[in-house]
Amino acid sequence: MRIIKDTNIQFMSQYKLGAFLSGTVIILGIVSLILAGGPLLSIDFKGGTLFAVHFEKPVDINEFRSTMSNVNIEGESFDFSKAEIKLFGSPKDISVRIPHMDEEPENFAQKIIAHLRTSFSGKVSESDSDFILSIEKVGPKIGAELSNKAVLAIVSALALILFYISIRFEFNFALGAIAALAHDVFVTLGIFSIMGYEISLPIIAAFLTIVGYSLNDTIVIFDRIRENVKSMKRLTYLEVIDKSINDSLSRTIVTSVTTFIVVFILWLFGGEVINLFAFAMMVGVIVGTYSSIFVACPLVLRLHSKSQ
Amino acid sequence: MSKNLTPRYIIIGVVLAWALLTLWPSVKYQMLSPDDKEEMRELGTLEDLENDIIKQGLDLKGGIYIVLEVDLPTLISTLAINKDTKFERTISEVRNSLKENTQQDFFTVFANSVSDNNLRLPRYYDVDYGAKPDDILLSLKDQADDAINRVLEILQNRVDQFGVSEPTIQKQGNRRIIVELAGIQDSDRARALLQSTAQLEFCLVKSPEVTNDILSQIDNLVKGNEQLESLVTSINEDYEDENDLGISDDKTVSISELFGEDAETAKDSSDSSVVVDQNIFQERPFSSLLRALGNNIAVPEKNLYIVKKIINKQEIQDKLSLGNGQFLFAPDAENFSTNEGIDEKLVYMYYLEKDADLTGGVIEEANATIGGQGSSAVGQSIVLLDMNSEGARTWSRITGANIGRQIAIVLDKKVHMAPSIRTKISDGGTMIEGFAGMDEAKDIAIVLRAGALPAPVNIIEERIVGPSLGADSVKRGTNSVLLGLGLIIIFMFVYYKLSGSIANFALIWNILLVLSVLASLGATLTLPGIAALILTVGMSIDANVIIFERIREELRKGKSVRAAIDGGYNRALTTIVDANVTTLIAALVLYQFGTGPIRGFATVLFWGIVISMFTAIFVTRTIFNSFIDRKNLKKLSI
Repeated sequence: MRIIKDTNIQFMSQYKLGAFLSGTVIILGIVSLILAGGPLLSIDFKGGTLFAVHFEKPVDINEFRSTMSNVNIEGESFDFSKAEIKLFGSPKDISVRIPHMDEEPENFAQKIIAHLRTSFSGKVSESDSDFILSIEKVGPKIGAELSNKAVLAIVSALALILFYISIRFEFNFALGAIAALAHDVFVTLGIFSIMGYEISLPIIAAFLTIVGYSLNDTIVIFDRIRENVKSMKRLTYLEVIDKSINDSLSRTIVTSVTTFIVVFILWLFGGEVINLFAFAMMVGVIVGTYSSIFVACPLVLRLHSKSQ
Repeated sequence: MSKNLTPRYIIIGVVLAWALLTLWPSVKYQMLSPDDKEEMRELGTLEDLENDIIKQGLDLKGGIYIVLEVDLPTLISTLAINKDTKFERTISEVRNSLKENTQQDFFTVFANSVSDNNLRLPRYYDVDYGAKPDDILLSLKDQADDAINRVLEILQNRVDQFGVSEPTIQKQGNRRIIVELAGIQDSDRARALLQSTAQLEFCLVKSPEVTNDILSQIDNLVKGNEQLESLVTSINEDYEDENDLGISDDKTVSISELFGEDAETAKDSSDSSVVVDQNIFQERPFSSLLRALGNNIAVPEKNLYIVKKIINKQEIQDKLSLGNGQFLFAPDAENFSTNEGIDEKLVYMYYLEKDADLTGGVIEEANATIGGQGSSAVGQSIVLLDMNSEGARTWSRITGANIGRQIAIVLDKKVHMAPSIRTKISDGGTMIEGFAGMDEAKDIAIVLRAGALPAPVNIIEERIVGPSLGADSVKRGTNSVLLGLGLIIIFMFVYYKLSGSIANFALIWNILLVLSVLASLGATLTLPGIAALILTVGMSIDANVIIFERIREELRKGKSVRAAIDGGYNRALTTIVDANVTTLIAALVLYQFGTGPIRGFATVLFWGIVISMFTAIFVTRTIFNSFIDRKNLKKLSI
């Protein structure tokens, strides 16, 4: 079976369309990021407390919220109704996120959970291990460190990759690849901001995987260009690039489709914990495939004609 | 390539055999029923098996992950001698500065603060630490490094005695310890066990006259301070609201009555209700928050927060240190009922000598048991202590000299009991009561045996995954892997026919090999790790796709099957290597910067890529070649 027959699409003449498309998405993303005051960071980076509980019967989220408005902890009454309260995958599961407070009472998440247990006594399982799904508490210090680490991780990955491609190809290719990567990360970040999704530690892992995947894709095309430049001396550089993309198009599509299928399945069935990770990967696979053709290659072409 | 393929088959065979062998324990473990496991545990063979299986991360198995950090300001302050208010102020300045900017190094901030305040370090640290301030700073740094190692050792000791399977306790950097306890759900208990400094102190309780005196001094301070007064007022308003609901307040007993001439009456009226007489409040705003309970003071649980807040104010603390005293509380509230039958929760509060007469270092043995007949704690959980000879001597001297007075047994700054000394205790045997239950008594005995931590530790990160969420993740993860795998296998077969089947074979072999590498490395499979496995399924197909597309191209150019395969593989090789090395770089960086689950992701991704390159380049090629050799193919099913 062969879906993609010999094609001869002139991708490079479509670069304006590509620039328009990418530009629009990135600008929308940036606007959303500015309006939201930066990316929405999870407690991994900001510090705070996140817990999820499971009820035997569905619980009304407004009732839940009003229960949270007066929680007595060691004689002091707390109002947690402004905390971020949302469903956690099913109407029986609820997650609560509370930002870091100065002078936090010890074990306060456990005490809120105890309060919920008495407030919803009919709907809660006897054993704590069925009631408490998870509790995460990150101090502001760890959070700040993790943010630094995450930035350092992404920057050093990009630097190492730039270095590798410069050795294996030309510096122009390295710039093209890095531009494509930056494009992918920005687009994904922007889409996350528009969707109102949080950036957590696993999402940073997803970003780095997107970086790896997108590069994988870009390099397969670059490899073709490198090969075709040598063997097709009669063609112009633009024609070589177009031919190389067409040559590898079948592979590009097959691999993207298979990878997309698995991350799509992960998104659909992987469960609440992994859901956003899979979403980031889904966006990444699409954007990574697109950027190899419409960001990396046009930039290499530009840089090449400038250096001529 | 018509070389002899035998060596290749031998390599493939050996690798396959190794993979199956390393995976066998995991398969066996999965098939065991809980009863079988229990039987093996009794025989002691389960642990061996567990060492060889793929470990599941806490996010899959459920459990607790805690990061502890040594409280350096407290450590440095504990090491100091001749402490005065200037020193205390410097330490609290450092504490605040660290709170504001969490990224600063403690010793830099401390050194700056010391020079800003003209604090003369040699005054506070004896000559062992060095004569010059710089030397002292250096040896304090050494002490801090040493402290973390001791903390690590002690925590290991405690956790071992606690009895958790496969606990992980490791140092992270110079100041932190990561503790992972799989399968534990009771986080309160775990954190109490880890965080307890096991600082056992015996402090004399100050006499009622002295206590009464300090209370009225605090009353005066509160009266003169608008901010504090408003705190008290807000509490009183709350009570007035409650009074409207019908709770009577006419049984009010002022604290002064308690320590006045009529202490006996006060004892009898330990049923008195909430202390909110408006007049008393005006006169003695702080005392109005307290209650009389026999010879002791107690705080209604509702007032506890505000009382602690007032006590912790700097001016009150200064007052307390002038009198060499400290206020400490009982660990838990107790129920008392008034004669109207209203239950109230009260927490005992004690005014103690600041300096302990004896500390936990003298403890030789600590055991949890149930109080027997004739003791004051019949049927309660208690901890029995044995002291070494030096401790016993001191204890005998203290008890002998203070008959009739109360002595508080303080554990981690909580007063577990404050019995009156009736006779001189000369054998060093002592009993602690006041535990919530046997579990707590046992845990406290453990921490007392394992020794005190050199400095308190703070929990700076805590992640608890319940078993149901973990089990759900495993189920969903496994289903996703199987479903993804199934769809890819179908797709590859439809798209590349026989060649696709060879790629499918490589894919399954690929997953087996990744799992066996995980098993033999003792690596941990986390939820992101499962995600990486699924990703590997998608991406490892890529190498085969690149090769197949190349072979198809070569065939279209009219080359023979053999030439097409050779050409396809040769041309694809550099592409595959270049494309995968970049993903490897990303995986390595993730491994380097990540912890826990992210590391699990990076590990699987790394091995997934390495192994998929191996299978695509080496294994499938061998299979292709043997097909050609055997049949001299004219047409390739691709």
